Amino acid sequence: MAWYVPLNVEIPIRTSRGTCSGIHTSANAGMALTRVVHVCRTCDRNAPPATTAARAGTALATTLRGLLATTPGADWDVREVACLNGCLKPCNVAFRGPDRYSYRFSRITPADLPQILAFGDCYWGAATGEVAEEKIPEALRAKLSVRTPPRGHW
Amino acid sequence: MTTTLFTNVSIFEGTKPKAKPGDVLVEGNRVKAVSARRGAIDRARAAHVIDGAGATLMPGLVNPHCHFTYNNATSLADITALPVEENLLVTLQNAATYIDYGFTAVIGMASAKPRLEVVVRDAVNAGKFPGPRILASTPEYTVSGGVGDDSRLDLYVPSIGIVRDGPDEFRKSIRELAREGVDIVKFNNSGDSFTLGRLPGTVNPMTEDEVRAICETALNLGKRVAAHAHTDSGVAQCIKYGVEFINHATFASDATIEKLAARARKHWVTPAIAARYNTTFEASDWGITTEVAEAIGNKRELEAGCAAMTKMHQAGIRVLPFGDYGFAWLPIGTDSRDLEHLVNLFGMKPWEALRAATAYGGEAWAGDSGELLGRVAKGYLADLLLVDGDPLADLSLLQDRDRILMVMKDGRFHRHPALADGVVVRAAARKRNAA
Repeated sequence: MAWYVPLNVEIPIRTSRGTCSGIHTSANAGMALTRVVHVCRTCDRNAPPATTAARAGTALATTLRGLLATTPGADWDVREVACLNGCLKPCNVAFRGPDRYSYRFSRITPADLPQILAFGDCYWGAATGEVAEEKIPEALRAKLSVRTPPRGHW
Repeated sequence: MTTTLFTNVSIFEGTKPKAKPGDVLVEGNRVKAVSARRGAIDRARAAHVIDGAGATLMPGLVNPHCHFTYNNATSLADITALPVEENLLVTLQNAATYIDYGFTAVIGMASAKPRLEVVVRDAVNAGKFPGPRILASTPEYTVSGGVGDDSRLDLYVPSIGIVRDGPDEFRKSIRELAREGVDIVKFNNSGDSFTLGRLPGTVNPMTEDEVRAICETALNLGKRVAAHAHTDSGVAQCIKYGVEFINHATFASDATIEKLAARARKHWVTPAIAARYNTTFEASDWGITTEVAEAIGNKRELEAGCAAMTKMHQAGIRVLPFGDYGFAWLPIGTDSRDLEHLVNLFGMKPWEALRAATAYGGEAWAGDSGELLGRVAKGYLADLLLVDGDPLADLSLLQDRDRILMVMKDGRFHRHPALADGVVVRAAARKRNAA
């Protein structure tokens, strides 16, 4: 039995955790925006090599994936990437998209994931991905380690 | 001779804006046939049939500005400080990482030690270690005080570059490295913000005679030439003396861009923009805040580089992704993020970024050898990826190695796709199910 996943599934943004809403398409790519949350799979890079347990970053991604699966409307894709350049403050989670602001949060633990979902709703709901500081969940504000505007707004 | 038939795949050919459904037959180490009609290729011709379950079959990625001997350190001096034995282990590990992430060919662009790239190239080619196809470079040639010269007058400090002054010194050293088996001769005819203000990217420290001697010597020996050329005069020297790989080209003037466009088929531009973007915006944990990046000139290089690359792309100059990965805030394995940089920073369309990473990269790797690399087309070397999803719709897929279901190099599987009843098991579905 094989799993078959259709390509290019487009699902409108639904919000279940906040007040942000709106369907946004990338002007640059001219295609429906894929909502992706990046998780560093090698965090904690400096920890001793894992033997049986997964690395903290991979475990975080698995927990996030489980949370997304049980949260109505949370139809993002989790991208387990090699690094998010925050090695000194593991674990790291980032939001990026074409022509959008980029955000990275550091020292993320499983307890922070509900706030990550709430932030994601605001991020994907905003036209440029810019999220006002007061809309960033309070528990995440001190963990914000990168906030980069798109080119043209540097 | 092994034959493998891929059916039910969406084919990104390497040069076309859209992926199209079809079947692909690989015989030995080459693509034997491509059909747009499912079932048109006789299954009896293949020893193995893989049902791709709609995944994307595309050419392997080519990194044309690769520092696979670097150890994700914070400075060139930290890389130099790594003893050659440890550096060899790092290099082998990096070669494995590259092919794990879908890079089936890389072009070395300054070896950290003189023979590292050469010996790893030979070991990978011999099948002793996993890795991509490799073109091996010299260390970067530089002049006293240039990028890569970490020497001090008051004590002995080794440098990552080979420091020479005057045409004759360069000629002798290049002949020695050619004897050792390098494919590429790399030199620095510009400064860089990475010197922390000592030699800015707007300064060209090499004389015309030195550049001429380097290029003449290398080309006469049949070697290919690359230059770290931020400056306008450095890019102009690349055009004048036949430097094929122009690294950065940050401060190229409109007049120089025009000259380059007139000879666009003879050059490849590799801006390595992540070394500017990541350093400006994502290196604060290592003390390089955006303000520091601005003070040392890195942010200026980012802004000028984006402007120059946008113009070059529009002028038909072939601007390639990847490059300079191997530092702490742009570690090896994250290189595919560059595809998004090409779209977001240079205005390329996603398919153009993928074309640069595959078809153009393959052409750059092959040079004038006559070899065919970088496309899913009849006669091309079978360096192929099977991707879970459509990278044309979402370039970030290539940053997640779980979404690269298969890596084939030279007709052989580096990573065989997981199969259930001959059908590819797609990672996303598997993970969702597990969750």
